[in-house]
Amino acid sequence: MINSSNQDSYSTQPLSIDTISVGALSLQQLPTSGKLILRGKPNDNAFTNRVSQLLECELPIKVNTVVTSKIGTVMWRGPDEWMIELSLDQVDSLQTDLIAILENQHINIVVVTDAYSVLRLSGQGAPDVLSSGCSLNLNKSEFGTDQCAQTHYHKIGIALRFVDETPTFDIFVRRSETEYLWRHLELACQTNAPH
Amino acid sequence: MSQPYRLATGGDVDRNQTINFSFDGKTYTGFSGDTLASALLANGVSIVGRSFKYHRPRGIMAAGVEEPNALVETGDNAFQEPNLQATTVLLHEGLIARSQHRWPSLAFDVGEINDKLSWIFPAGFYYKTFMWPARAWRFYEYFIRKAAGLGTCPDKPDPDSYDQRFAHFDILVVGCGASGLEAAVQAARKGARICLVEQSNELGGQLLHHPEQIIDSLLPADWLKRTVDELTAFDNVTTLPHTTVVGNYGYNYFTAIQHLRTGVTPGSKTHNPRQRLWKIRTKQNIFATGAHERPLVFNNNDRPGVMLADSLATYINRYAVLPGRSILIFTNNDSAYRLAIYAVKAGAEVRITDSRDGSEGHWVKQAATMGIRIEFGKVVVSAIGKRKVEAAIIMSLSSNNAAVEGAAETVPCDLIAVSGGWSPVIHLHAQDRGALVYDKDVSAFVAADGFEDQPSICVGAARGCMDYKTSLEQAATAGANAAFKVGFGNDTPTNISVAETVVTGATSPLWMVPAPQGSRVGYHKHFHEYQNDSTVADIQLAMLEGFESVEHLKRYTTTGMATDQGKTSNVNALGIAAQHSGHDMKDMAPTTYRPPFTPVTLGTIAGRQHGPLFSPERKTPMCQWHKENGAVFEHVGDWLRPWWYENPGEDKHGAVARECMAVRTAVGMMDASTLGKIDICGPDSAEFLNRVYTNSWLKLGIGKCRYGLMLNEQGYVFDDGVTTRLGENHFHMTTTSGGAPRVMTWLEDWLQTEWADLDVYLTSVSEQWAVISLSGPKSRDLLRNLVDFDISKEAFSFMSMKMGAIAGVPARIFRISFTGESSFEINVASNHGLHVWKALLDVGQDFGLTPYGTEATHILRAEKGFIIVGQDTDGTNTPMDLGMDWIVAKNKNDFLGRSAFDLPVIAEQSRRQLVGLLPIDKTTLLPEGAHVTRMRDEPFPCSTLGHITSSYDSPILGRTIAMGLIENGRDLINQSIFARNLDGSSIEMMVCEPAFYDNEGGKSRD
Repeated sequence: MINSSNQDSYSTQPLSIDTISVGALSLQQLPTSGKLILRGKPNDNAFTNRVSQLLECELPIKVNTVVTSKIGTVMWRGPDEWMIELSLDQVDSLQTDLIAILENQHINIVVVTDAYSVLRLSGQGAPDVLSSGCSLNLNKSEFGTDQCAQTHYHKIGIALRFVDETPTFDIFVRRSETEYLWRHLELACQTNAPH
Repeated sequence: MSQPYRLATGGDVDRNQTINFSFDGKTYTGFSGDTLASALLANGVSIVGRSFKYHRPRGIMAAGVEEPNALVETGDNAFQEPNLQATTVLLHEGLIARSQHRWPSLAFDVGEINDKLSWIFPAGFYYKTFMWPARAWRFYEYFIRKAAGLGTCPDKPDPDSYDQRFAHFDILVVGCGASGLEAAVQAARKGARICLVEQSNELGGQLLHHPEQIIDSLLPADWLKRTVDELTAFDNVTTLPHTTVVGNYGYNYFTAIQHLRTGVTPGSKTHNPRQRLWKIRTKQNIFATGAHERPLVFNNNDRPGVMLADSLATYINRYAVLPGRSILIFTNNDSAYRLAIYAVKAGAEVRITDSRDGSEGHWVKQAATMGIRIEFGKVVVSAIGKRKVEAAIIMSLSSNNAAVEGAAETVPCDLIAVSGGWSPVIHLHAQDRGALVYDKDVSAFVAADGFEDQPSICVGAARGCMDYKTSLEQAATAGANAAFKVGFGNDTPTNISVAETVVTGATSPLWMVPAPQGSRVGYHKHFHEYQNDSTVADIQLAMLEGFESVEHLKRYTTTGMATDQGKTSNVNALGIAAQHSGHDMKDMAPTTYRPPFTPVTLGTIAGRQHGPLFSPERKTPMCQWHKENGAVFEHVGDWLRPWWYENPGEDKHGAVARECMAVRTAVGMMDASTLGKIDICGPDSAEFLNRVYTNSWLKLGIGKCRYGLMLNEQGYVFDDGVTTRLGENHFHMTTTSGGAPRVMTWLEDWLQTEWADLDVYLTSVSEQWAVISLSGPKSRDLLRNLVDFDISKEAFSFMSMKMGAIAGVPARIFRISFTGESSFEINVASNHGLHVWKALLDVGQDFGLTPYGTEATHILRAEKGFIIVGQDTDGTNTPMDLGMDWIVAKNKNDFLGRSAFDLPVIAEQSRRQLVGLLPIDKTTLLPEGAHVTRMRDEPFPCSTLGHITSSYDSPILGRTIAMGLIENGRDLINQSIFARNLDGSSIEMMVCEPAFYDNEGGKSRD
């Protein structure tokens, strides 16, 4: 096990390996990012306005969309659930700020920084790699910029986020299932890397 | 001479690339581009296998997936694969192939005796013969099992790798003959995303062996090149050659098997998988799957050298192989005349026997012009020659097709090419329950009209259209229409390819050739189904015995039940049955078509999901440490948990005893990160807990923990765990490790459906927290060294929670005990888990800190009588059954499961109750799961009082203990009952309270 660069010295990520490259494809365990689950009522203007103000972006209300702001990215996870991903050192302050501005509202803000790790898959053929175990339609017209989705890879649940047109995808996976996902993706990269 | 039957010129094979292969141990050569079948034919190998039932010698009949006879085994050792069609195995250097179903050799096979004895093997032979006497079945079974099955399985694991792919397209086009290609081009021009699938390794279908067919004034090869080039240029077209769509599961979901590595010696490199399973979802589908030629059914029509006419044309034109010199063509339609023309051009002598009265078709006239001898109104009644056709006997057919008459003429020949008409490949259409009708013009079943609103359509030969011009028009329209339906362009095709067309005569159905009057063998060697050796006589007998429904007929005669699923035999069998029963073919219906269209290797279905990747192995943040420190693991749900830690020289028993004693006398540490954890937040959280747990939650103080039991609606225990109040409206719930997902779903279900009025949010935080359970009399003293707050007994009482820092990182520490000892459940962010674990170990050395696994946990909790939901419960136990009445609130109006308590079945007295059990012999370990009886020697079968749920050897007590669910168990306390072994022997035990150690519970409060 090695510590990633931006971790405090007490932290260990689930994988001891950080990156592999197969041809044009690369698979990477990203350094731990800060993650918050935000719950609240999307039709409550007081809630959405205050959150938008703080995050400096609209809350994504449309199914499976991502909004990026200066603070980080906000991913739609359900009609009343969002995941905010931001830098690790800002999690606590954002949580405090959210709790403060949403006082007396029925909301929930839970830190899930360590609950999920993020693997980044990038390069030509990346959709084919994912399609080896994910039944989602990953054609560019169906899953592209500013989109995310909770789906599955073989037998585990994952959340996918389209990052860029390389194409690059970020895969949010439960910490305990990171190794399973990595081993599958590594094989799938070897099979699908354009030779 | 090498390859004596190879033509000097022509064919799509690469004569510059000679390929060496072996068949039944003998080496041969072929060319690149050959199939195993074409190479064997080129080498003059006529017998390639033996039939299943009668062990008759069989040769190559067809040139594709419809081949019923030529099943071979390829590869050696782990690479051995049985039941491959020689017609679909691409030749590659070093290919090893063997014939099947023969012993000791293909040429001399002992089983051939069955052929002589065929009169004692009628349809239903097994049903009729082995039913009596019943006790003799064991004897019969041995021999039947030995005789059963085709081929032999490899006995080693498959070293190859297999890939899988999910894919989404607008349109799926199956089949890359002229029709499929035209449909795809039309749809691609409109812009739709298309998946084009071809089962052969080459695109072109029948065009590959019909060299005279002009399309758009181009020869087939040129038209194919133009079309394929156009398709390749589109980036919205995915073409999958050598891929078979095997399943249509409805709602536009298909599976296909792609052969990725044919023509290459097998290797196990992961990046070079052998096959890929495609799971394809579409919006529109075009089946241009072509048609299979049918054999004609006459005496000895299975002899090596009897081949399908168009398949023979394939061998001549595509592979440049002419496997005979003197060919008798026997047909009931015009298509076989094309073969006559090819064969004569290739240098063969050809004679044609046509069962029809005549035909004015183009090819018939051309054949006549070439001087080929054509006889109408005649049929082949029998083939002569055992290991290879030597001659055919032909006779005249009566006008009503019911008898043969006149003189029998023996015609010497070395091949009999047969064509009984064409059966459209309607499998994919029919697998999705697509309607079928009998088409008289085609004399076969085709997709019924009138379902144009459906997303799938058959075109070309698959729709019964046997001429290229109409097929192309049909395909073009279907392609444009499909694109239009998915939102691209209009439904008008552009630049439809135009094929030259010729006049053809009608097909005249001939389901079987009548046996000559007084024939000794009758219909016993008229094979309509080759692979399972089913004959006309079998169908006739089955129908006489009342198996008239085609589904019954199929199973009784095994027609269409072999690996080829009756591709060549099903329509003929129906025709024979119709003829026998006097029904019209339009009143007959084919048996149900089911996936897969062709056999699928099990490895392809498994894909990469085998071995360590078979199912997820969830790992805790400290897992690597456990591995490096002697942990023996067990699976708990998907989790990998240390079972115990083995020191050098230790066995399980020693290790577990050491771990238990450490917890009871010093301090132990367990990785409990797998516990389910749910963050519960909202103004109605306490009320929510009040409804899902049996006890009361409204008054739980902030920072306090409480144990809860969750019931399902039937009043049975469903899960348990400790929940802690973090704030006025904020709770932290723990669940069992295995039950976490189930509980989360259950709670969300209630919130979202029944209790939408409750303002509660649930968030799974199972993975956010690493949990270390520190337990034992020295746990506090140890922990004191690492935390920054007061953990004295007074400041940090049992069943409470405190937040603070441990080893420099934030933590929530809960005073909860599952061992009965003073315990601290330390929760830290998962990424800090390993750090804190190691920090505890460093400090713990002075305290005798011992990591312990799940086995020790189980013993420690059993000593205390704490239940494990799922081990001491079986889904039918109430809290009262478990002696846990104390946890059921008497003053609550309602909670999940409460109403079930009033049911008589739950209120009744004779329920099984959880009790402790102490074997009289303190060293005897009761078998978990053993049934319990009241008396020592009650003879089996006898009624059971219940069973042993948990049984352990307790180190601290120095004796074995157990728990069990026993009928009216609490009334039996202090009485003897008996656990029964499978051999009938008994173990005497005393019933007691289900608690064995520190019953006052003082230690856990310390």
